[in-house]
Amino acid sequence: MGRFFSDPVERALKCIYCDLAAGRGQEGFQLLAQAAQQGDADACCLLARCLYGPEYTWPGHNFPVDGRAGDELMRQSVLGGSAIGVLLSLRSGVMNRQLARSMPLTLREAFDAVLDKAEHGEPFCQMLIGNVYFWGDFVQVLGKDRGDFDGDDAFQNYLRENYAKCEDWLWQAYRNEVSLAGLNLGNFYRNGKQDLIAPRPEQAREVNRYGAEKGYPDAMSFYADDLFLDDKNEEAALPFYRRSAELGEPRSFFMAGWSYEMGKGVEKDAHRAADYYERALAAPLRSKVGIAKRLGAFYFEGEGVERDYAKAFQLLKWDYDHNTNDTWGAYYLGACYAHGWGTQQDYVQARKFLEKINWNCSNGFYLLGYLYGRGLGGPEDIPKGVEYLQKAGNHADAKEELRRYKKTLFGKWVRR
Amino acid sequence: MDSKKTSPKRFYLKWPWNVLVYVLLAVVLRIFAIPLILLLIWWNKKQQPNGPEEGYCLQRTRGRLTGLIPAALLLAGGAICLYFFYLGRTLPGEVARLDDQMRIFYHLCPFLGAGMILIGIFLAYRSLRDALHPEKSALAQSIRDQLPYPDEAPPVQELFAMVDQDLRENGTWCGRLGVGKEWVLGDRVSHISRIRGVFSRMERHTRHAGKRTQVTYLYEIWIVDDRQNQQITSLRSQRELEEAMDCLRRRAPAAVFGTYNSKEYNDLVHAKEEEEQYAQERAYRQRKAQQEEQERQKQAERSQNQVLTLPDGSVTSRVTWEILQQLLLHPGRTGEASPFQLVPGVPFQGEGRAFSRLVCLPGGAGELTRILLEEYSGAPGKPGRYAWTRDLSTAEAEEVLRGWLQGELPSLEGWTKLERSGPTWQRALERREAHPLPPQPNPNWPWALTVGGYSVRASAPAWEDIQEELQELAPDPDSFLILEQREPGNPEHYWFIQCAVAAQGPDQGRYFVEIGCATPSGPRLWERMVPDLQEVLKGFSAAYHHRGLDVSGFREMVI
Repeated sequence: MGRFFSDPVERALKCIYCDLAAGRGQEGFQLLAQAAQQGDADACCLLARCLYGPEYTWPGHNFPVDGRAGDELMRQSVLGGSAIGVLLSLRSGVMNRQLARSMPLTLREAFDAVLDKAEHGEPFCQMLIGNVYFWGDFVQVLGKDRGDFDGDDAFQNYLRENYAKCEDWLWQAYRNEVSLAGLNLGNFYRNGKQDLIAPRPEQAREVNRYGAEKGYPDAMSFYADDLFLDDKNEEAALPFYRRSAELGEPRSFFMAGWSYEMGKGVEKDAHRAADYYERALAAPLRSKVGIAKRLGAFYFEGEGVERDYAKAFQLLKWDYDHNTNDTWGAYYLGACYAHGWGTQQDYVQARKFLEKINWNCSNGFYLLGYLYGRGLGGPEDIPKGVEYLQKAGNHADAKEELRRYKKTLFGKWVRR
Repeated sequence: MDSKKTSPKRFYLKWPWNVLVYVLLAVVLRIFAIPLILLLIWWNKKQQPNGPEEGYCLQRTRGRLTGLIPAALLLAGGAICLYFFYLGRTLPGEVARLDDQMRIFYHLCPFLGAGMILIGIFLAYRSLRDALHPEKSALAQSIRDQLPYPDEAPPVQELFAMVDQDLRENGTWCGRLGVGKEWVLGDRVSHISRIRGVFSRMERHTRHAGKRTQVTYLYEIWIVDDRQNQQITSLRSQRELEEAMDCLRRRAPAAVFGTYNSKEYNDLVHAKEEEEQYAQERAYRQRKAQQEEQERQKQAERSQNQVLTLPDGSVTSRVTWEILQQLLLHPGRTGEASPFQLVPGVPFQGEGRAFSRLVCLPGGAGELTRILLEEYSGAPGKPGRYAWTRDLSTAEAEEVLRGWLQGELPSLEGWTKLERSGPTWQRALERREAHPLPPQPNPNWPWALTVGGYSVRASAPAWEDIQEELQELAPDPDSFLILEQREPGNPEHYWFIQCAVAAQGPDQGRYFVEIGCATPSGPRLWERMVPDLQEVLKGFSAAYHHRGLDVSGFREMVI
């Protein structure tokens, strides 16, 4: 038996919430699964939290997502008398009147039990208590309502005083290596509490900086975002992205890959860039637009990965379908359609995509010139075809294709 | 990518009529014929958009007739010189009055005249020989020289056809220089595999005559082959020269490229020692091997001409036989189905059709593998209407898949034709052109009537009975009427016409008339929807009385 929970649960908490870079999330998950099977109520709610999605733990763990199984485990945990289960169930939406009536602990008793552990230095409980204050659950937990106060001001003061308590608890958890606590701490500073506590965005940044310096992979990624997006300091941000990605933070994979692709701050390394893009695509991230197109281009060019037009087309088309305003992959898609690479040859689609090119792309101009000149995918338009072929500049194939046409005495371009 | 091909056949002036017309014009109009001749040449060329019908080589040898013009000038000059000398001989007094310079010229006249006449005769002979006897032309000889065994060269027609075909199919023209995949046609012909060096010559010549300064430009391309023969072709402009160099750089990438009289040129052309020549050849072979390796890699990468969709839904165009073999064997090893499909970027042609998809459902241990080939719909992305399927042994399936990887299609004999039916397939109705419409009833067979719902059955029914029963048909599944005939003594041969009223659906209340009969290929059924009873009665009456039943509206049904 551990100091606060059972041995497996304490070990699992360390694996899942504390030492993220060690990559022992799966080990923690297995420990929780075994303990839950043996009826450990604390393990049940922690396992449920893992199953609720990456935002409840860390995307780098890559846990399976199964909300229904999570709810069931959460109910078991509450009925099994787990204090942390009771507090966690408030946030997960599992707690209802029926469950509240059936559970062996009251909310207050559960809160006191978790508070006691937090006060004795258990970092996960410190985060939990911090979250109770951060989300305003303390009102329900402590059984208070507006009627218990003399007036609005008193109630507002009560709220202000208790919301503010989250700061200290979350900081304690954060310092004790629960980097997830930094997320709500940052949100607290960034947004404040409406009409009660003013925002302090500079403090949010401080939270990320602190975590980054402590080597928390997620904090490094957030801090790199601060530097890259807010300060536009690419030079300072990219090393954090790369370090964070090395530690397995999926939210940094894309930027780390990008830095290797472009050779920003490091030597160009297409293999590494492609690897990061692949990992980013496989990770449980919300948005993969942008990642898919870059990896698609790698597959098209055979850079960093073996050339595979089918994969290239699939990725580029997926990306385009999810962001049709972005014409970044227009040339690649146009070329795939024009040649029948990775998809069925379709000159109409080829023209459609190639016409979206609004930058100097000699390959794209050559293909467009070819299609227009030969009347493929639409009506023949030799002057337009020649115009595109000429725009292709020194493109060898375009120069050869141009020889098919000549200018008449009247300045009209015709087939030779 | 493919291109559209057009080959209009138009009228034009054929050899030797074109020359005859040009000569006639020149005789009649003299100098004024020039624009007209140029116009005719241009028109003649325009009328042959796919290149000269006689062939590029023959056209070029015939074009050597233009060599008669300098030959004629030389002959005329020579004749004038000789005449001048002859006049001097007959009028010695006049010769005495000539100044010193003219007197020297007078004494040189017979030699100069004779020389000019000899050169003129040679030029005229060469022009006429090339134009009238192509087999003896310098062009034909240059082709022979490029062959491994010039003495065993085929007749000139074949030689020219070989070069013409290449230029027609793969030719790129840079002025007078045509570059094909195998041959280069200039003033002579070079085989691309023999080309060891290509050099451009661009010179500006300035001539001062009195106060006038005349500038001429020389644009030439010098092609040196492995036997150190040089083909020199004059071009009209710097642009043509650059284009020709670019084009040859692509077609003969392993050759040395440079400028005329450069070190590279001199090294190549003046390599007299065997050792030097060997070194040159070795360097060429190394460059060629390097180029071929690069090209091979490029081709290997580009040959991803189809998309393989794996059982897990992932795709790849890195399709290898090993992957397909693993998929074929997978069910036998694991017991799990592993369906996969192959979609070529450009549909494969074969069996008079184009196919856009192969779907394979490998069989497990001892089970057959099902393969479906989907016909190309004609529009990318649009599903095909027909498909062919067959259950094959593993060895047969392997053979089909191996062929498909090479773009080859199996013989469809013994395959079942399917027709798309929504998201699935159904066996397609085979067209039996011999009986597209139902046959007429047999006038020698007796009639029998069966009425459903009332269980009435009568032999040799009267028309009135039939009429009455038809009028009583109701929209009820049990209400129908069959007027049938069978061959006496052979009841398997039959013909019938039947009618029922649609009880529900969009055609509710309308009459279904069906005609059925036995044919050598099995029972067949045709159907027609008739809006009213009068039409039904008309049809039955025509059948009953053998007055020629109108069967044009009947459609065959799948039984």
